[in-house]
Amino acid sequence: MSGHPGDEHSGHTHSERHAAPRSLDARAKIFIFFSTVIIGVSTPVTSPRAFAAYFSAVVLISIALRAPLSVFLKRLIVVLPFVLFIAASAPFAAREAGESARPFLGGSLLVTDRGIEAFANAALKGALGVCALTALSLSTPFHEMLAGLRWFKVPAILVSLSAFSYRYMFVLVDEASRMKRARDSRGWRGRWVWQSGVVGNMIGSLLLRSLERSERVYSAMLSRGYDGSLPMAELPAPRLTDFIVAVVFFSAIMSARLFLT
Amino acid sequence: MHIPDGFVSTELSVAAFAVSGAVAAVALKKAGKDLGEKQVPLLGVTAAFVFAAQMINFPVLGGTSGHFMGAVLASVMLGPLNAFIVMLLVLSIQCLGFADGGLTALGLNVFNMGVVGGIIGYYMFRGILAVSGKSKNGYAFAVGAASWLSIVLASSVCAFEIALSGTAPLRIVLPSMAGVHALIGVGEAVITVSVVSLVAGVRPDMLHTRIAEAQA
Repeated sequence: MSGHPGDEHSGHTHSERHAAPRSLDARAKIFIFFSTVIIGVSTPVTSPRAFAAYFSAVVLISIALRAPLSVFLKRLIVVLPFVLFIAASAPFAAREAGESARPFLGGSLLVTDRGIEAFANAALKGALGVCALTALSLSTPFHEMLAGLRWFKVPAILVSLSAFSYRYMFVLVDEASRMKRARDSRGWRGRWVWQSGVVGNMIGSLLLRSLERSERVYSAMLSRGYDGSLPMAELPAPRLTDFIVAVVFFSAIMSARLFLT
Repeated sequence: MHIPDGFVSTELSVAAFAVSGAVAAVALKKAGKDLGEKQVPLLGVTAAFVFAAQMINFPVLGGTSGHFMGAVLASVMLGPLNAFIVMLLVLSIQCLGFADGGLTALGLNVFNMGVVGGIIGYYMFRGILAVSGKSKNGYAFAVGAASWLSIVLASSVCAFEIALSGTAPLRIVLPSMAGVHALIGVGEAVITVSVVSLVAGVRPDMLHTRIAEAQA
C-alpha cells in the first residue's frame, strides 16, 4: 500500500513536501507525461531502442524535477510484480494452431514467440505508464495538477469534485488506519472470507463517520459563504522555460518514436 | 482489477474512452442539474470514503486477502449515475495521484467499475429486488447478490478486454479472473450487506433505494 496517503502521517503527499519551489509549470508536466504514455503505448514492442529512450527521458526529467527517487522506486516495486504477474501468463498461453512452441522448465510448459512478444509488450508499456504517472504525481502537487487539467478543458464540476475528494481522502484514510490499529490491537486475525463481517462493520462505521463529516463540512462551507462553486487554485503564468522544456521533451520522445522504431 | 497501460489494444481503449466519456457527460450534466449544492460535499466525501475503504483488506482464503470495490454500495446509497461519478472520481485520482491503473486504460477501468460495477450493478440489484421481495431479508439478499455479481461481471469483462487485445488467451484469463473474483465477490457481498444494514438502521435517510421504495 506504499504510495497511498495512509503511509504519510502528515496528511500531505510527498509531492507537496519535496517539490522544488519553482518547478516546471503543471500544464507542461501534464503535457510531457501524458504524451510519453500515449506515444509509448502506440510504439511497437519490437523497437527496444525507442523504449530505452522513453525510460531514460522519464528518469532524466524526474531527476531534474527533483521527484524523490526513493519513493519512485518504492512505488514501482509495489506495482511492478502485479504488472509482471498478469503479463507472465502470456508466453505460455498465446499459442495459435500450427505455431511451433519451445519447451520451458523441462518441458512442463510451452513458450511461443508470439507469447513472449505479448508479455514484453504488456510489461514494458505497463512499466512505462507507472513510471511516467509516478513522475507526474511526485513532481506536481495535486491542486496544481487539477488546475492544469482544468486548463486542458476537463469539466469544472469534475475538477472541483476531485479536489474535494482528494482533500478528504487523507482524513478518511487516517480514520481507517486508526480503526485497523484498534481492531488488530484487540487480536483480530481473520483468515477466511466468512470472517469478512468484521471488516463490514468497520467499513460501515467508516461510512457513517464519513457521512456525518460531510454534513459538518457542508455546514462549515455554508458558514464561509459557499454558493455551489468551489474556488480553484490559479496557476502562475507559464514562463519561457516551461515552453522550451515541453517542446524539447516532446520532440525527443516523438523523434524516438519516429526514428528508433 | 486496475488495468495498466499496454494491456489493451488501441481500438478498445479509444472505444472505452468514448463510452465512459459519454456516460460521464450524462451523469455530470444530471448531477449539475438535479443535485442541490449539498450533494457536492456528499459525492466528494463518498468518493473519499470508497478510496479509504478500498485500503482495508478482507481475508479470502487461509490468510490471502482481497479488497472492497464499493460500486454497488455507492449505487444503493446514491443511485446509479451518482455511483458512476463516485467510481470515476476514485479511479481518476488513483490513476493520476498514485499511478494505480494506466492512463490509456482509464476509460476501460471506468467502464468496468463505473458502468458495469455501478450502473449495471444497480439494475441487477433492482431486478433481484423485484423477485426477492421488499422484506428486510429480501432487500439484504438483493444487495448481497448484486454485489457478488458486480465483482464477477466486472472481472469477466476485464478478462474479455485483455483477451480481445491479444495480451492473453481467453481460456486462461477468463477462468482465472472470474474464479478468483467469485471468492473476492463473497467478501464484497458480506461487507456491502453489513454496511447497508448498518446505514438502514442508523441513517435510513442516506439510502437512495429506501427513499425510492417509500415513494413507490
